[in-house]
Amino acid sequence: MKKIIFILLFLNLFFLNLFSVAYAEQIDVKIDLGIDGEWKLERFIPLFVEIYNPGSKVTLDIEVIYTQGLRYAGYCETIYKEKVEILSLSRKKVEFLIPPIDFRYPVKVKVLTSSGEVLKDEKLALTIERVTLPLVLVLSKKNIPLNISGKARIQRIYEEEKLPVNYRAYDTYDLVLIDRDFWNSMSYLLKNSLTMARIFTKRVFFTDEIPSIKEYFTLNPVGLKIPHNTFLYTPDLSLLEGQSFIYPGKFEILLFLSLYFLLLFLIRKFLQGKRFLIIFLILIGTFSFLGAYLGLSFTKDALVVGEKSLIYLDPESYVAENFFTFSIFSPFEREIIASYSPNIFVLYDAYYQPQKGATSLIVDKKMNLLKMYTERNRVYFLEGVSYHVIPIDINFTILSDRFILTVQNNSKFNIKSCIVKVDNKENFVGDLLKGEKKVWTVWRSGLRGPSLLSEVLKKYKIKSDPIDNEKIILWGRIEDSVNILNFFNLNAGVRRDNIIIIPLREEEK
Amino acid sequence: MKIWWLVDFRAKIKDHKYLKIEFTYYFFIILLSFILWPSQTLNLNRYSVPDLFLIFAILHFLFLLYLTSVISSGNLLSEKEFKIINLAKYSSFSTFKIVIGRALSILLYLCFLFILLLPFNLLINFSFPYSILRILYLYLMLLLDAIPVLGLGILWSTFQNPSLSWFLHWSTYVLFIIFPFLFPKSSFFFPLNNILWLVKAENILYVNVVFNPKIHLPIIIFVYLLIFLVSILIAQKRLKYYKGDDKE
Repeated sequence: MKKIIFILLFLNLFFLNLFSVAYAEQIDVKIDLGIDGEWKLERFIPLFVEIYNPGSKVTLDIEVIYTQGLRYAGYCETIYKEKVEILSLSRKKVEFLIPPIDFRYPVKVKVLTSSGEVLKDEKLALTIERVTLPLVLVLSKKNIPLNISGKARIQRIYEEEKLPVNYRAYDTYDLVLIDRDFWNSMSYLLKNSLTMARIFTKRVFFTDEIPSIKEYFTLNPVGLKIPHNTFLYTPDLSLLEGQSFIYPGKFEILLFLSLYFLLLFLIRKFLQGKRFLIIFLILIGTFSFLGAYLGLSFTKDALVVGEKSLIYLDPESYVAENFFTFSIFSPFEREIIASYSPNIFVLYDAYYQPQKGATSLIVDKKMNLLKMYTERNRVYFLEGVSYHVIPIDINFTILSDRFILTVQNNSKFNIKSCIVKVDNKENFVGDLLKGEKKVWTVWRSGLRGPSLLSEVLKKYKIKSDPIDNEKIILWGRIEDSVNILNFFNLNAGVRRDNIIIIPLREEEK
Repeated sequence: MKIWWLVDFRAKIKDHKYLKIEFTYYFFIILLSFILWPSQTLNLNRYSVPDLFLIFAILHFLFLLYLTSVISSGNLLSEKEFKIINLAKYSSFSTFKIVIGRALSILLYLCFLFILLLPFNLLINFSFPYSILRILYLYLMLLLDAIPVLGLGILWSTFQNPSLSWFLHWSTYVLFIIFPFLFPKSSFFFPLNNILWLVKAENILYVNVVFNPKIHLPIIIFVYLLIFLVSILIAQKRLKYYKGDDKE
């Protein structure tokens, strides 16, 4: 009996082994840039990696490599890493959000096994003529007739599995039309992301909302330019210039050294006998410790970071979208590892100065970790988009000669020097601190131009449509940190310039 | 009975003339580090962190090598009152003991200076990651480099003519520093070269620093010890002459 069980066990093990070996090679990987390969230039794009695993459970590493070119030399590389576990006989779809593509460089996707063997290594080819044409997404089970120019690409999607979850991914479409029936059958996850897309892009509509599509849809010419590298037309160094490091300064060092050598002199001149050795050793020990501490804190703290961001708040839903740029300067070659807050959903290596060679940023999406290797005396620019919930209640009434604003700040941020902007004219209204409620009256005659915000916005290349189109805006500066970047074993001096933009709309009565 | 070179070492520590030299050097390095210390405000066009470890390692090398040479050749003012020839003439120690004791007391004094400079070196050790081992290597290298100079210095101290010994001490010191630049191919033999290698100054004054520790380190240890041994043997021979002379 024992023998039979033993043999059965052995056979069992043998077959298990055989099957797992037989199927391990046939993992099927399908890569799509955009939904069914449709996307547009200068927009955020979804990238799908779909993996079917016919064998036993595997863990795979997916690497998406997004490259940006620079104007003179070298390039910036961002590597998005994700580890996925795929059960046997199952399919998994992993979604990445890709920042606006530099068409001179292909997007690369690598799928690796946990042992480092490459399963798939693909460069996604780009066809320029297709990606410049306007793109319309229609979500409907029925075939709705559309009266749009034949130059536009119309993409009809019938099943919700193909849609991206991240709301920013809908940015790639010039118009998204949703049928009510399709909307009702959708999952809450997708409903949320489409609602967010509707708020932040203003290009998502239900089919019954618009009487004729032509009003909402215009064929804009898209010129092919060498892409800019950052959200800004020129990388902004102003936040780093003149910033102070945290490390000990000249006078502290002078004090430390003079104290040490003075004490040494006194001991050697005046102390004799047995006491000399003990006090001498204590002195050397203490000052060695202090010297090592100061030297260590110098190398650690020699890092400055500038944070610049543009926050658009939708006052009805309290959600806010933030386009931010981090500029990082380090006088030493070192590896910087930092964890970022999970509300940052895209992050990429945008630019560096002076440009030479290549830099790469590794982003671990699951662990919210970023890793980069910095050369000495270079400025690195990281950019990204994040969302926040900033509860600020606004009651706005327009009278013939003045505006009346009632503002309640329930958020955790202090908003400093708020300004009301009407068209291209502005009026300063004051600070709005945490938990404060204020009533402001802005007289039309008190508005002065030109607007400071327009000057700030001129520097930005990437903005969302709402920021451009709003007529009456309340804006101010947030001096607290909006995006959290925690450096490991490093202390950095940080300076911030965060601008919050709140559109003012009169409530319908 | 006390070991005489320990007494010699203790005398060196307490001597005011030594103290004066040391504190002049300390004052100099305080001043230099104050000038070179990177500013706390970032000016993107001009900001850079000077490699203070490189600068001060070379400075320590120049100072300590000079100090070794000047002490061992008996040209320091306080050493002139305590000449090795007189020691050989009047003491009861054997000449070998005198020569070795002399070398040991100077090496001990060097180590003492290393300890005094330790807090300063820890402070200016700019690198990432921060490593204390680099200072240890620097000290060992400096000690190694001091050995041939020390041996030759002891040999020069056996010359009774003070201007001759002064000239020889200076020429050894200067030539040891200049040689690597004169003979780039054999530069690894010379003390400055290994310090430059240690501080990663790959290229200085158009001379490439070639030093492979696995090949060159055993060679220089052997050569330096050989120079030291040969010179102290000659020095011993010369001192024996003075000792014998007196007894007659």
